[in-house]
Amino acid sequence: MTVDLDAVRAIAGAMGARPWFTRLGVPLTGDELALTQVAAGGYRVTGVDVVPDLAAAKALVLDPAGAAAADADAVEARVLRDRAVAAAGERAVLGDLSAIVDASLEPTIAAARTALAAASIADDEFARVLAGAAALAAYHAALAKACGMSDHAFVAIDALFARGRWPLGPHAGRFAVL
Amino acid sequence: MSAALEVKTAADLAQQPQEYQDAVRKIVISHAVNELYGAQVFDEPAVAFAPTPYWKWLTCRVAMEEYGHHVRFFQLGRDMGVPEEKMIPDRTAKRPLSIFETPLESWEEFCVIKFLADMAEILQVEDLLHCTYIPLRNAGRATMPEERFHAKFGEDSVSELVATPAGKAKVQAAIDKIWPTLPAFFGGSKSKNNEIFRKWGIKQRTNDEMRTDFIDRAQALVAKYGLTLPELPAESVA
Repeated sequence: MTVDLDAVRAIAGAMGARPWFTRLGVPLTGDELALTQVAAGGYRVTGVDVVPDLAAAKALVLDPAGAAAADADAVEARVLRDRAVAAAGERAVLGDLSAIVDASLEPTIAAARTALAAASIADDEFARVLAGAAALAAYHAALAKACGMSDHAFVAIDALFARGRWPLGPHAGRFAVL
Repeated sequence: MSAALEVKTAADLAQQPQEYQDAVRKIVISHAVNELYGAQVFDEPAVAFAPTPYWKWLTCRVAMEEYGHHVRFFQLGRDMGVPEEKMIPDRTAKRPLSIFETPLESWEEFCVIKFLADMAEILQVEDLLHCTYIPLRNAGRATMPEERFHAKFGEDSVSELVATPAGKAKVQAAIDKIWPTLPAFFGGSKSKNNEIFRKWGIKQRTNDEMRTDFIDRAQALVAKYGLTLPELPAESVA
């Protein structure tokens, strides 16, 4: 297998310029709906729910029912990482993945704080939740792309973040997005 | 000797006595190694234990911030000419802190680590805030807000967990497991390194002063939630 580390570097390079969390709660465009449906397919759910605001999103992600999907994502990410490491070597793969973490640290938290302030929510813990979700999605997408799987649900989820949305994951048989 | 000393840059550091340079390097290496090791053995694995997506993403962010602290001290070390391999846990001869040998087995244990161990980390970073090597002082200042948040995260999560008798019992069990490993975090009572750090104004307090302060703060903190600290084995406080 060939590992596409250029794709990983491209994600790292884009982190600072993305319009993080700037389209929360507004109706989905056709492009966003298509991406959300790809994401939903990754969890074998159909149907999409647009969550209206950050308060509703917080209630949803505090539901323990969502933990299983996140745990399955972690298992899938480990499989992809092991595959990439086996093909390209640990140092190269982990070095480029670390660059995503480096590049995401400041812009994601700054954007999350801005989005929460715009919604008159003073909650720095919640800002870190948004920032963590966005960075983790970029990390997962980088793994999928590195393994040549551009149609993976991880890539669609990251693309939604890159468009200013917050994909929240499967919930009650549908895929929720803010 | 150290009262008026202020070393502003890595270039200035290179002009200082060898003992001072070595002491600053030791502290920077220690922070770089332990920040990364802590993220690897506690924060990253804790994501799997977190009970909801909210806590998973928050834990993920905390792990990234700890990693960011490693990067901060790593870059500081590199500016000072410290070889990179000395600042990476699996490549350096420097042993990580003994607390990291405790295997993380539950969400409650992770919350207790943030609740108590991150307070120990705050004390260590606080002690750098008047350090005579200004870049290290600045790294401490930049790190402090996130460390304070991590400790608050620990307290908030513990306060939620103790709301039920079952949760409180799990938190107490986690404290009973983790607490005995923590006082050693501050080093030996007769540490030669600490003596040198204080001689040069790199650190301000003895290991025992910091340890006593930590134990006092920890006792007050756990009492607030109706929890207790177990007795410490004698060797862990000397």
